[in-house]
Order: sequence, then structure tokens, then C-alpha cells
Amino acid sequence: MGLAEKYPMKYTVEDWKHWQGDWELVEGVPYAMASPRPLNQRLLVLIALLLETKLKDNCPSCAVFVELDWYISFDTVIRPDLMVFCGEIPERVEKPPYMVVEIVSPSSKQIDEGLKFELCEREGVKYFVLVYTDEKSVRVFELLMGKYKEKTDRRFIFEDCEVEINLEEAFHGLG
Amino acid sequence: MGLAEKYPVKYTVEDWKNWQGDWELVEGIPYAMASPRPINQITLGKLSRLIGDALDKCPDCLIAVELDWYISFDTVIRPDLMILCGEIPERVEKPPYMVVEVVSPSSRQIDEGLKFELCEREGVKYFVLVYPDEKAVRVFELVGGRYKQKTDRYFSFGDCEVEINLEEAFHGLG
Repeated sequence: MGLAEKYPMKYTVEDWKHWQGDWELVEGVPYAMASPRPLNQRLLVLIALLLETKLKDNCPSCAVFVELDWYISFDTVIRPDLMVFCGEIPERVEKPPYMVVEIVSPSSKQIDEGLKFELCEREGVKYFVLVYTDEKSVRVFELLMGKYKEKTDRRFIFEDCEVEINLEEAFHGLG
Repeated sequence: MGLAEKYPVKYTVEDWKNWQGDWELVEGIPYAMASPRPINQITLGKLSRLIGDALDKCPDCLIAVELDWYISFDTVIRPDLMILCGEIPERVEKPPYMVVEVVSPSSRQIDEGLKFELCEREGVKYFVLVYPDEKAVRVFELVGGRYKQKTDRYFSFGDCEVEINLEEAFHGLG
């Protein structure tokens, strides 16, 4: 058994608040946020624009938030690339968003596809979206009976409004 | 099984170099360094002077305060105080002769467990735990690869022997 395994240190959101730099905290364990790749940041803007436009026209009570902290519990706080919320804008995010989008990069793959996937599933995020920049592909998961099921259509229901968003269109902007 | 246990991420010293703030990295796992308490910093200052004065007899040795020790590709720690002998390296990669940690309630588990075992494994000759609240010092010496607590305060660094009454650091602390 390694020393780090033998002496694990669990932190709280109160500890996390004092840390410099960009960290997520899951069940007391710090996760360093990788410095973003330019291509991923560009794609994030394009997806945010696409979603914002569609939501404004069809679901005016819903809005897009980029790189915002979601305070899940006393020892867990994450910063998804993008979240969709509906209703009043809270002082800080404690309730699960309707949608979480993560732009996957090689260094974040394991975290996005594993940790974030299961965390969002457990916390009740309705739609979980993984965007693969290099492959120009999108995977959308919808919560059905507490489990994520991959969906192939691009119709989303936020609160009481339904909207079709072809997320793949965001890649057009990359040229 | 928790999610963090299921999806552990191991970092390297190369990752660590890009982090802001004060972190140690042990076997790929980040450990946040607590913002130091005044009493710990005062004690550390007194210890530095005490040990520094004693080392006048050992001109090859010097103290380094809050310096990073690069142990391996995935492990780097910053002891409160180290004694290094011989040439001053560009960066510390070899085990120091002595590591001193000033213990605070929040660092206790790490100092007494993780750091203790790490220094033992890496071959640090003397490992010293200083408890400012209790005004107590525990000194461990590597004997046959294991730390054994010692009660005298004689230390030998290379071919130089010196007595350092570490408890004197508490004088004047009220």
C-alpha cells in the first residue's frame, strides 16, 4: 500500500475556498483543472452561443452558464464547462442544473467520462453532454429512472419547454 | 466505493509545477499546505536560529527553510526545515540529513504519518517533530532503516558532531 493511500487527506469546500488556482473537489479529494486547450475554449464559445440562441427563442426562463462553480455538498464542488439552469438565478449554484456540458480533452477524458458522468447521474442532472473536439462528435445522455441512457435525437425538455438543438452544428464554426 | 476512490487522478511533478498556491505531491496525490499559524512560524524562526548557530561547528552543513525536495517524478514535499550538507545543489533531490516539521492540529496526521514514513523510506537520518502547543520535541534517528526515537540531543552530520538542544526554541514563547 502506498503512503498516499495509507494517509489520504480529505478536504472540505471551506478548505477549497482558500486554494489559489483552479481546483475541483470531489468527496474531499482535489482535482487539478487542466489549463484549457485553445480549440476546446473556442468550441465552448460556439456551443454556448448555439444553446443561448435556442433557449432565448424557445425557453426564455433558461440560460447558459459557463465555468461556474456548482456547490454539491460540504466536500464536493465542481466547475463544469457549461451548465443550463432555468428559473431564478441563485446567489450560488447548489441545485443540479438541467444540463451539464463537458468538452473532453485527452487529459480530462477519464474524469469527464467517469467521475463527472457518475456524479451528474447521481446528483440528478437531466442531460449530460460530452463533446469531443478532435472527433467532432457529441454524446448526449438523458437521465431515465436515475440512470443515464445515451440518446440519439437532439430534442431537449427544460422545465416545461421543448427545444431541438443540433449540438453538432457547433463544429461548423470551427471551419 | 466513492467516486473519488473509483476515479483517482495521479499527478506528476510536471503537473505540480503549474499549480498556483502551496501544494505538496506524494505519489501523485496533491496535499494542500495549510496557511501557517503564527505560533508555528515563530517556533520555526527560533528553531532556525538555534540550529543555524549550532551548525557553525559544521561548516559543510546549512539549513534550508521551506524548500522543495524533489523526491521522484510524482513526489515533492516542502519540509518546514531541512539540514543539507555538502555542495548546495541547483535543486534538492537527495535526502537531507535532517527534516524538521512544526506540527499543527491540521497537519498532525500528515507529519506524524505520511512525512514520517516518507522520510524513513527515503533515508533522512534525523526526523524531528516539534509541538509548539505542548512545547515538546520528538527526535527520530534512522537505525537499520527504521526510525527510533532518541532522547539525547547529539547529532552527527557527516564527520561533524554537534549538540542541539532543540527544546531551547520554546524559551521566551511564554
